[in-house]
Amino acid sequence: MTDSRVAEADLLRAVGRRLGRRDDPEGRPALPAPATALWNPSSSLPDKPAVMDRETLTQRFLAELSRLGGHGVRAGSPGEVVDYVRTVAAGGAVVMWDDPLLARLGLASALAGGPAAALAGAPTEPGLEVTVWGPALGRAAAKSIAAGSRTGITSAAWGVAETGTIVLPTGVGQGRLVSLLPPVHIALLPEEHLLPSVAELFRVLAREARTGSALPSSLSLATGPSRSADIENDLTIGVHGPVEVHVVLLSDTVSGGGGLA
Amino acid sequence: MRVALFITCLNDIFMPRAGLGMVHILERLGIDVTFPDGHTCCGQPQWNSGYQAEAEALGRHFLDVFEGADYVVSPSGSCTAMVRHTYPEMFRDDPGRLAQARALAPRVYEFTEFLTEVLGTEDLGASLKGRAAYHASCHMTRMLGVTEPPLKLLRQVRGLDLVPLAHPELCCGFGGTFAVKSPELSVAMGDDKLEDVVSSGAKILVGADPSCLLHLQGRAQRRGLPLRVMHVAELLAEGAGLL
Amino acid sequence: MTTPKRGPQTATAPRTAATPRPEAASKAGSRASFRRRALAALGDAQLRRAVRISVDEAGAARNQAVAQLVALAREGLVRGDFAAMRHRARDIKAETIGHLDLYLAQAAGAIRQRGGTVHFAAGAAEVGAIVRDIALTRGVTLAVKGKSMATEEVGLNAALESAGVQVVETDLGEYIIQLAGEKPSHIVAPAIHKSREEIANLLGRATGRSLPTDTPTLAGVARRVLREKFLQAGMGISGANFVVAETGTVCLVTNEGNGRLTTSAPSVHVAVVGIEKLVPSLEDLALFLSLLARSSTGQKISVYTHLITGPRGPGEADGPDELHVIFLDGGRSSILGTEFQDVLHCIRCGACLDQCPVYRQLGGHAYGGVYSGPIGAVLTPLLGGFAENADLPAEACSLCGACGEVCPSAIPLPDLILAHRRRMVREGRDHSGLGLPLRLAAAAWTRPWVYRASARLGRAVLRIARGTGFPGGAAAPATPAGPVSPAGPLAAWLNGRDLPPPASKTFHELWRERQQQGRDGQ
Repeated sequence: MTDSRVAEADLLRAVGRRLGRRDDPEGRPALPAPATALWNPSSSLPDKPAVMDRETLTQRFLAELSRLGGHGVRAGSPGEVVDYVRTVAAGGAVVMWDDPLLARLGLASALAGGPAAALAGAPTEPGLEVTVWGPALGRAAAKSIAAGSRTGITSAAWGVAETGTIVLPTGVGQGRLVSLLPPVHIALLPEEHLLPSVAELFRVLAREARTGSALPSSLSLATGPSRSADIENDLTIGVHGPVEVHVVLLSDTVSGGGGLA
Repeated sequence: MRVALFITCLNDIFMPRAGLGMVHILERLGIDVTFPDGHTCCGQPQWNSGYQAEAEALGRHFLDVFEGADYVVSPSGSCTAMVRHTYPEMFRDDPGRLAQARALAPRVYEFTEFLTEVLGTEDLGASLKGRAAYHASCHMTRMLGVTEPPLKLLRQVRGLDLVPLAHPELCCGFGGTFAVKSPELSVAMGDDKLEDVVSSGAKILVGADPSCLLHLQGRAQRRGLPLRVMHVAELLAEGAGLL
Repeated sequence: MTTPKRGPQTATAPRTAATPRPEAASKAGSRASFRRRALAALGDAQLRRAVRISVDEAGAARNQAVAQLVALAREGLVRGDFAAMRHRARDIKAETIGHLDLYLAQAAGAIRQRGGTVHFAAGAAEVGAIVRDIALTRGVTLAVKGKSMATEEVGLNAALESAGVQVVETDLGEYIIQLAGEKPSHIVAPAIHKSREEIANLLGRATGRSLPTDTPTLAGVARRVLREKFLQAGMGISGANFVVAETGTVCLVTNEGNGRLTTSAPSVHVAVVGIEKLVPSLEDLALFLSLLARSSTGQKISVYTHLITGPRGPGEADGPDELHVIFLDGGRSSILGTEFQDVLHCIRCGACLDQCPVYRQLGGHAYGGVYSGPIGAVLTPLLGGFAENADLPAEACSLCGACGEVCPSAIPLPDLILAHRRRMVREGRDHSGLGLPLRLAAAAWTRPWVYRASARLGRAVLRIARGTGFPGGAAAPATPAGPVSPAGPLAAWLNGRDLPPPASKTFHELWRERQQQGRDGQ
């Protein structure tokens, strides 16, 4: 739309003029040479990457999460993962990511109570009603399934020990609404993806973004259950997001340590 | 050691007893105290109300009056802040005056600061019975960065029960011309401060800034609160039998 | 925020002493606005109670979180203590604002590269036109909205409603005041002035039910009502806390999750972003995120930090098909190149409100604009017209300096208030009645003998006044200033306070006597 390009040129020119720049002869706003060469964003982070051993990372993460009312557990075997998830997710429909980690653990079929029961929207034997997210569902159905599920299960790309944060990307099989609409959210996070701090997380994200792994369309840092204090300063849990947040930390044996993207 | 007194216009007119207390204490400590005749006002009210030229005029006069003084000591945290902190900014575009201001600034002290930091004195041999709360003024705390000296001195006063306030960092509401530009707001803030004082159980309110004290004393009196409002120099001098 | 220990609002004892009577509105004249609103707020005990509880809590939480930065810095987890971090924050913003055209162009390119659409809007009319156009061409009849001060500035809700698009606020506090037809009274907690009874009434009317006043029920009702809206809406509107120029990432920070739902469920996402919200890179964003949550609510990080880069990717089964980012000027460019440029470094954390002793007395509505507290006093005259809003920096600030101390971007707010006051004097807009006395005093008091004479004269006048039972005088009972009182500063002082008995002798005189005695005694 030419109108919007005019508006853009006008605004950039207005800004440039106020900053003391001159237009070029054709009246195009004269942008200065890229300043990013001079600006050093890494100086916005601590000089050296923080180092924290695995045990400290894990304990700190769990302590922070718990402080915020989230539930964190460590699982040393696939069986432990399944048992925990089955207990938490009991009593309602489940929607889960189509994700290599969740698939390798066979979670969908384990919860649905039968082998290979992970077809989208097809509950089988007694067990939970489990839907695996994916484009085949169709947008409207996907939304409605997420809205009607009690538990959403995802993996998490990273965890942050400083704050108890989990990092949720999006992708073809990784829907936003899975971790948003159901009142219960369970996230599976390999321990080896725990980072010491928010600063370290962004150090990694920035590096990845610059070396070819573009940021996903949506990346959510989620820290505990949703909350508000808008009613007379009184704390409410679970306003527009999950009421219960569970993070299952996977030991290296479970996660297949050292290779998961 | 020679000290030039920067009494401040408010102290001069409304609280000369605090100035006298200051003089007596300094002389007791062997200081030779002078009071420059040309002393008037530092220009803070003008500066804070946006009257820059007027503030500068008073500032120039101040710099001339106190030129060459070894130490300039004031019973007002906010006025000290004006000279030390604001004059260099105010005279930013006047190299001559800027140099003068910068030369003078390190020699200008608030009274309690001078006693504890320069003279190294905390115990004046004072005694005064009563429960007291200390009000820390915004300019003294935030602009001047002087927080401990008054407390150090007050803690040495025998018989004085010093109690903390619930919201010590909250402005008392004087704010210079704010007190008369927004009087109801100013008084409401003063009431909150007085509420803190009353609920602390203190019967003495002591401070190092006459502006705040005048405001709080004025309101306390209007409300008939059983509170004695004293400048710290007054309290110390009285306690040491000098006033 | 950490669990607030908030109970039912307790009554405070009414002030027993006479509270000052407000000056007649007619006397205020053209200065009626702030003064009149402030007086109304001072008379609203419930409002003041609610505000006080909120800001004391937020301020305390902020102080605690900021203090913890020291230990975290020692562990190498954050870049430094508060001073170091805000120093860097200021540098980031100075860099960004100082090259704003460059970063805007970079951001636009990055957003487009990811399939987003970028618009530039000079002001309210343009934003309204752009969003209306998007809504109408896509058949949108219902839009859900996250909290955005920029959309308040431009009155977007009204612009859409007039085009037949229903707009529902989804932040709980914003939803409550939307039902009440009010404006937000705080940047972070828009409904702090509302009691639970009022909230129960509002939600009850909206749902056609009579509701109890307990928090879980009320929150549950809001959650259910808004859930439906999220799922039905054809458009989600948000602001942005930050936009990263390098990657074109829009960053939304919420605790409730409405930011994520607003931008995930509907098929169109429109983000209205003030041009000053840019930061160069993701690392810079990290620093600001660490400062924002701590300054705002005392949290280390908010519950949801949402990074949006383009509309949904190919094959994704949810997320918006379209992302529209509207960069709003709205008067910001006019602040560039002026002594007020630093105000564009504001990240809207609300910390200055929480620490301001004036805001604590009044709440946000008294400031009469979108922005309140110290940032409002500085920004409103710049964005909303100087003449109409000059009373804010003139009257709403005691220059205590608390705001400047806590600002995470190290904006020198007190200095900017003073800059406004200097401008007022230059333009002849000081109607306080103090100009003349201040000028006279300055002229007179550069002459020491005039100073001494005026001190004696003033003292004599006051003594006479007190002796004749002048209000505030020793002989007068303690009552508020009566209708007959001298105009100006004296009356204003006496409207609520006594003047101390002026000393029988000034210090000048006492000193002279002392010197005399000393000489005589030798």
